[in-house]
Amino acid sequence: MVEDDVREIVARLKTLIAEQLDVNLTADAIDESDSFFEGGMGIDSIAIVELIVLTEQQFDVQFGDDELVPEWFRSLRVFAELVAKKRESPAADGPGDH
Amino acid sequence: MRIAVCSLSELTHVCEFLDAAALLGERHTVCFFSGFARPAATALLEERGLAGLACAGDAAAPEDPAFLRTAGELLERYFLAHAEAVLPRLLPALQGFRPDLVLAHLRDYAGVAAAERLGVPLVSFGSHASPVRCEDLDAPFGAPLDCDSPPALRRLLWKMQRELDARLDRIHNERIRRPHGLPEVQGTSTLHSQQLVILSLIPALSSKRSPDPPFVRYVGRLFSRRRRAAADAELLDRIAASPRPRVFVALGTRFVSGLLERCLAALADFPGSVVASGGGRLPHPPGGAARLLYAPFVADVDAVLALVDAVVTVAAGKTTLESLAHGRPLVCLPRQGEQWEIALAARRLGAAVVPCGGRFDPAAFARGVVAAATEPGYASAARALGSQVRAAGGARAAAEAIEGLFGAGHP
Repeated sequence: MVEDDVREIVARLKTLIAEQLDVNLTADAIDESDSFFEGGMGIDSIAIVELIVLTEQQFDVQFGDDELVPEWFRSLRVFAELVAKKRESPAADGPGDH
Repeated sequence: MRIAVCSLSELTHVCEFLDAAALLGERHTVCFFSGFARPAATALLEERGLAGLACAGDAAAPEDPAFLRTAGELLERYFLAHAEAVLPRLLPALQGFRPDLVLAHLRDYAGVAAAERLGVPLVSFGSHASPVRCEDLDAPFGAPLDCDSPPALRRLLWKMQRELDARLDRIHNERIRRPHGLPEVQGTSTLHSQQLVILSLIPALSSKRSPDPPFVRYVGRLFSRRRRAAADAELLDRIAASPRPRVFVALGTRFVSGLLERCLAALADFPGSVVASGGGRLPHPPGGAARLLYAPFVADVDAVLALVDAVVTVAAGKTTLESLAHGRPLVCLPRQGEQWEIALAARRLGAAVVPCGGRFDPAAFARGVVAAATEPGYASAARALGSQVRAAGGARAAAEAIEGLFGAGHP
């Protein structure tokens, strides 16, 4: 996995969250280490489902059942790493294996 | 029997149990305890001959729920804040009324706490799907999933739900229950009576797979807006004379700000007539469609529904059931919580279009409206659901279920 790819995905995801999800967040205000859930960005289930759908569409990836687990959503950075791995090969390793 | 109805404050919430309360009022003493004074709600109670007490006095009102985005914001900053402000005044007011039974809206945490504090039986009600969820089979209450959604996504949303509930439970227990000597509770977002839960919905509009316990009763449409108003007569004549297809933009009383303007702008080229209500908040139409028939407020919603071909709604329970009862397909723009569950269920059953996600998409919305208003499949599916709504029993079934709690010899 190339660090530049992850950084670019993080930036694109920040824009996607700020501009396409109905949340009160700006791209600048999002920290890549923030969790998506309570205590982090605080986005709700409606936004998380949309995030998954829009990420699949805009990054041309398809998440499998074993990838829709909380561990991959513990931060924007970790989620971006999943997207990067998916773009490299269709099946990603487990979170934390890298 | 003396029945206290803890309805929350806003007109939309007071409406929910109004017809059932009027039926109960024929044989029992019924009084609404609504929290903050809202003139429209007071007028409606008076019109139905029902007593009402806005007991919050000069307590600080919570934020306007229409501007809260996430389920967590809505529950913390509106529903729990409402309970925190109202409960200290509700308790003495209820003690003075001496109820045999408290009917509390599912999100009226003050009503729930007061019933428990006074040792009075509690019945829950609301325009929601069942709050009783089984984690292995169901999506969390109000999740934006239908019953065919991937299990992995369901599990992910349960994880979010547990985190949300942990935070809400902490707030609920610290600010509302503990100060009044009540034991701590868990599962604040789905708290409900264990004796009777009356839901103004039909089971088909839920994402649930697990069976409900017997105390959960779906009764369909609880509230009728078949109200005569002189101001509606001219509007109805104009609608009847307007070209078809006709779409009714009915965003209720809480969600019109901003969203109505975007809807009407997107329908500028709609090949028919657009009927819109300002929900009592907007005296003038906010620009928009070419053939626009606008009313600042529509009292006789049923008469309008009888004349149109499709309805734009946020998919809140009341407008959804009213529209389906008339066999009208829906264009759903869900904004919050359980509206998503209802919208996705209606779409899965072929009676609704859900054209956009959280962000409004004008082109997709306009296409969706044309499809819902002109393609016969949508109307056919809406009529099928409408027959389920009408068969569910409505306000009379709700009143009978409540009286049934106490058997023939009720107090």
